[in-house]
Amino acid sequence: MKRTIFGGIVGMMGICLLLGTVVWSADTVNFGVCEIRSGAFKDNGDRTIWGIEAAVNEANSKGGLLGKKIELVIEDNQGKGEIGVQKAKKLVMQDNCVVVIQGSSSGVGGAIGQAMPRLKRIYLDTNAEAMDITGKNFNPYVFRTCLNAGMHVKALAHYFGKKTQYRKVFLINQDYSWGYDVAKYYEAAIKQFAPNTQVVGKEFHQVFNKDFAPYVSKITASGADYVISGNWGTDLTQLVVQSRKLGMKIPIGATFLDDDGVMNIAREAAEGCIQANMYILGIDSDKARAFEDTFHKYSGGKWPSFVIMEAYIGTKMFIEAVRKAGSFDTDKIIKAFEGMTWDGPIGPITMRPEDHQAQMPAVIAEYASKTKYYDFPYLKPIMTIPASEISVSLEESGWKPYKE
Amino acid sequence: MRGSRFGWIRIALVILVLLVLPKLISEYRLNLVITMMIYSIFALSYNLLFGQGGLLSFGHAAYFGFGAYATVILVKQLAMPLPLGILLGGLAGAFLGLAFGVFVVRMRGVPFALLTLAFNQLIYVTAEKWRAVTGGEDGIAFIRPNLNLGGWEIDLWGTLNWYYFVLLVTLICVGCLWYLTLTPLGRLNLCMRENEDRARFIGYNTYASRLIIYILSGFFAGVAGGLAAAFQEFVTTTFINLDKATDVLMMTFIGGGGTFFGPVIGSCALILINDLLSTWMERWAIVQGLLFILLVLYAPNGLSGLYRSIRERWAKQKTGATQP
Repeated sequence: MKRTIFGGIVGMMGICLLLGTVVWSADTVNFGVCEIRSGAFKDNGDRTIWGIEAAVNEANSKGGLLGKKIELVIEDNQGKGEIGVQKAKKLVMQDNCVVVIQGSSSGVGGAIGQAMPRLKRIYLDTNAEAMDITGKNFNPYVFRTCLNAGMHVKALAHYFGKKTQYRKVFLINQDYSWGYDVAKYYEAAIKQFAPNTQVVGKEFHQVFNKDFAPYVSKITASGADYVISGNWGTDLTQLVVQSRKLGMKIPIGATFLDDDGVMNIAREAAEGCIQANMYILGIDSDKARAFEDTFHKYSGGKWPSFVIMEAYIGTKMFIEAVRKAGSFDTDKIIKAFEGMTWDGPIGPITMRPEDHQAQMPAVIAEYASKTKYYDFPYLKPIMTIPASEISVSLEESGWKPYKE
Repeated sequence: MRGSRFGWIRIALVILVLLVLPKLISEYRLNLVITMMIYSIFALSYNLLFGQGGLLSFGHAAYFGFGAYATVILVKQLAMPLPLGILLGGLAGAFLGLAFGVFVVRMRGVPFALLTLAFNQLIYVTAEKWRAVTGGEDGIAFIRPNLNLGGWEIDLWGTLNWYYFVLLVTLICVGCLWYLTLTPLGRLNLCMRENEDRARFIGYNTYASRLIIYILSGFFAGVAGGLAAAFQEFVTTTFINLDKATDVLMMTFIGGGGTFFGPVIGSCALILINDLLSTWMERWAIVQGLLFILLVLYAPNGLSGLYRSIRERWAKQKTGATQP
């Protein structure tokens, strides 16, 4: 038995030893991607990777970054914070990545963000929107290039408060931090844009809820004029589809309806829904068309929707920050990134230096039965909102300065 | 006598390898070894019930997670020194072991497994819903504090010092668990696995004995949870969920519950396989599942059992070949 012990443990150590070799080339620079590549959220992870790949292909086709070809090292965080941290360590310590990119999960993002001061590399959050990542748990190694929850719902509040006469809102969200953030920040934002708005109901349901009928009954009974929901994935599709089947016709303001996967399932049921994001396909301007066409070219025929677009923009912004820094040194990139303005498809995107939360305009879109992008109903933009209108102050976001 | 001396030499050699390991492998691999050591404690604590006690539990993550939350809350909120926080995390696991053990050790087989599962889910749902204390699904983040030994401060920020700290705790825990197997209680645990009625007939209080084993198992799982939380610098509901409960079962099964160090081998193997496969391929979970099925079919006693049977077969062949 003791021989088993000895053989087993020494064997394991030997394998570790063999695998400990670090190999990287002087002509390339590694970008680490720590995304969900297995399980229920794999689709989200894949889409994020498509966006990152398109930005990297584009940069490489134009001579790379500071004379080096960018290579992606992709790891599966399995949607778990502890695995995410383990993989982030691998990407930094073993693969010498200059950045770790993750966007599909706020939970994983929060955990990776906390680990970065030890690793002394940048965590680029391209699409995880939980407030705490750049708010309460801020540290200088984390940069977020997408909207946060507060900004996202503020765009919706701006639309419903200023562009409609609806004054009774029902908030239905998932029972975790994201859902609570959506409810809390929407209530605050709608008071700013339409103080006479009444919140007639507020519900938090479990993630992956199957039956929305009881919630639809409550919404109908409340007399709400419209619904606001930060639901995503099947929780959004089911809410939209089931509510329409049960006869609820009032508008649903959503944050993740621009996911073409969701729209492919919801289809006509999404009629009457309103969506907000930092960019939504179909903006009628030369700059926006150039943005979409460039992505289309470097992504092998895809369109920059939902998290694909966010990951694409985030990676392009990071590449720009490295160019500005003229170095792959983390401290220099941080300095260059802070306060940097990048020319986005609908206007400038500025990285706020204090909390590293990008400030940007937003797009509001409504249901469209036909678009040039997909062979199922999607969305069409109806208005843009300036960055100043949706900005959430440091105090409002719960920001705290970083202490080592 | 001679065999025993060789045994000690082998153990000393393993410790020596572990001591010089930071010089031999990369920092990332050292992080993996830290993970392996922490999960080795967790798997060994589980093996007190599964391998040595013959009790299949689906709820061991509850003690791991409870210990993790207790450590983080005590260290973060009460600024408690980390070693004390981890020790109290272990005691929290032991306390939970007592609270649940009173009910579950009366059961055997399927009812035991289902009850442990139910208690695990109870703790999981509590952690998920009691956001004010546990932070819900977002968990609690904290900074691992330095170690203060009477004015002499040891920096636990770096991987190296943290590795030696975890190594020390692991050696203490493994030593205690090994010693337990040599005590009358440890022997009785094996005896109860083989024939509990007989143990009772010869005068042992099997209920009390099983309860003590259950509490000790909870203690070491709590220590492992505290270490894991300090390593990750955060704790969340994934520390208590069913994935974690099945992970420890798989670690023990893969290594082999029939030997003391089988779970250690299992935890090292599973962590390594998981890490390598998920790097090499997208559908790694399928391969991991297939490997597990093959192991169940062809090596039901785990890797240590497989090694032992190969060695025995080889020895038999050798003996047969030398016979006239």
